[in-house]
Amino acid sequence: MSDELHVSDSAGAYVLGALTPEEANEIETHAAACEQCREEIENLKHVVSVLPLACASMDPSPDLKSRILAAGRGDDQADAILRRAVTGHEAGGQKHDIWHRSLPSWAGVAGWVGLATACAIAGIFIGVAGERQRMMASLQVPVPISGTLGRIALSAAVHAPAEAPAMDAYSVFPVGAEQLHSRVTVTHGSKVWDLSVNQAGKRIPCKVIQPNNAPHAMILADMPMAKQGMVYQVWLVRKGKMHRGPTVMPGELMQTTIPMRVESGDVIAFSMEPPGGSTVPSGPFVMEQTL
Amino acid sequence: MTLSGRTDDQILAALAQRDLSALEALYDRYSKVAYSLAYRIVGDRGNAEDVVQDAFLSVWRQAGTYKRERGAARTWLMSIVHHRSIDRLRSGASSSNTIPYEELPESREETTKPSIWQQAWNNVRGDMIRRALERLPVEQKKSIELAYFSGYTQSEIAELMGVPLGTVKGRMRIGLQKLRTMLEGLEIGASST
Repeated sequence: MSDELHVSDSAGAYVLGALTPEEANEIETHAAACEQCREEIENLKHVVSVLPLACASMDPSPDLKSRILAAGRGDDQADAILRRAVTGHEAGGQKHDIWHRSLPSWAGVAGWVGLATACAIAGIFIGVAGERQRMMASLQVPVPISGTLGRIALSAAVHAPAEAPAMDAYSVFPVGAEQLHSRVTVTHGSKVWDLSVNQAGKRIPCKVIQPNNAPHAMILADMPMAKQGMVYQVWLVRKGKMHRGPTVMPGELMQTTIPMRVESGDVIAFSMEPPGGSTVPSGPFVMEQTL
Repeated sequence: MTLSGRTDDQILAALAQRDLSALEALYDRYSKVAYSLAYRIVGDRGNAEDVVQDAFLSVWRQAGTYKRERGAARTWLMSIVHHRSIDRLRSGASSSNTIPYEELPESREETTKPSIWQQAWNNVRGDMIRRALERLPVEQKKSIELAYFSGYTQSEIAELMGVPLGTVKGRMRIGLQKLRTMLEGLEIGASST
């Protein structure tokens, strides 16, 4: 290769990260075929690699280490979930819409996530009923979105039996800025996964609902108390990728939405996080279930 | 042998086996210099810690597929810290991009026992590198710092300094070559830990 075509005059800018992506691509393409430029770049990279040591030495806050290690532990848990989910599918034994499975990790949970606050944040109330006619009737009139109605509807929904692989579901959306009235949407043929468990003699109801005409899924649960100052955060694991879900405030009942459709084989997990949630789980999952 | 006494390659191998104690050992060894670099670039503690957390978790998650030919663990980690810091700086999430060394807060006393020797050695090397930088002509030193610590492109630096683009390229390249010569003279192997 002739000297005129060498890019070594830009090698310094390249290793310092001072090129645009297009310029950097040109350098990399050339260096891949030019030993001379490649060698120069490698030599300068070694110099740049010690520049961080020139910074004034500072310590991060003492809790950063524990946060990173907790996130690392969370990764391992997610991996274990993924392995189990993949194994379950490969075994071909769990293809049902409803998959009951024991949840030993519920034992450490201490709280309930609330309806009224969560609904106000999520902007949606959900109920499940077995009687289609009654639901259709409710479609005809605006429904006050009072906390009482929401709490009753949700309580009925989360405690309703779910023997059938699919059952009707309906959502109540607040309408208008004052949120005094609601529009009722009825969906038929929705999928419902009953993830309820019995823990220490107490039934912990939990359902995941995928309305057949909605772009999101819904979770209803009656969970133990959370640690003080912590909130629950929902995670969805699918095909090796973890999707960050919403946070829900502690309370008696929990309802929230996952902003995507769910399907059999997905893993739903909960972790306890500081207010505002986290980008990765910062501690062990308090619950995890495969749909 | 504890992980804190092992080489970077041994720690990387343990990371690839999902050994959480290896992540702890890597943190003890490099958190301080990683945080110092991130803070130097992004200019505030919150953003710097976010960058450092992101970088260590990236190494943790990708150690199994990392190829040693791409560089030492420290080089890899610092490269991630640098790129994420610059990304954050350019996205406007950080408060400053012009913090001179002199204005940075003093370091607190090191408290992590296994890394005391490492930190001491890093401090010695840091002093040597700072002195080497100071020995560069001002224009070369400034060009390198604006690019590496402040995230400016070569074109932006040319505009800031009011010189042709070719001049900036030359200052960066020659400055780095001089640094390399000086650091070799000081026996600071760039690829060592």
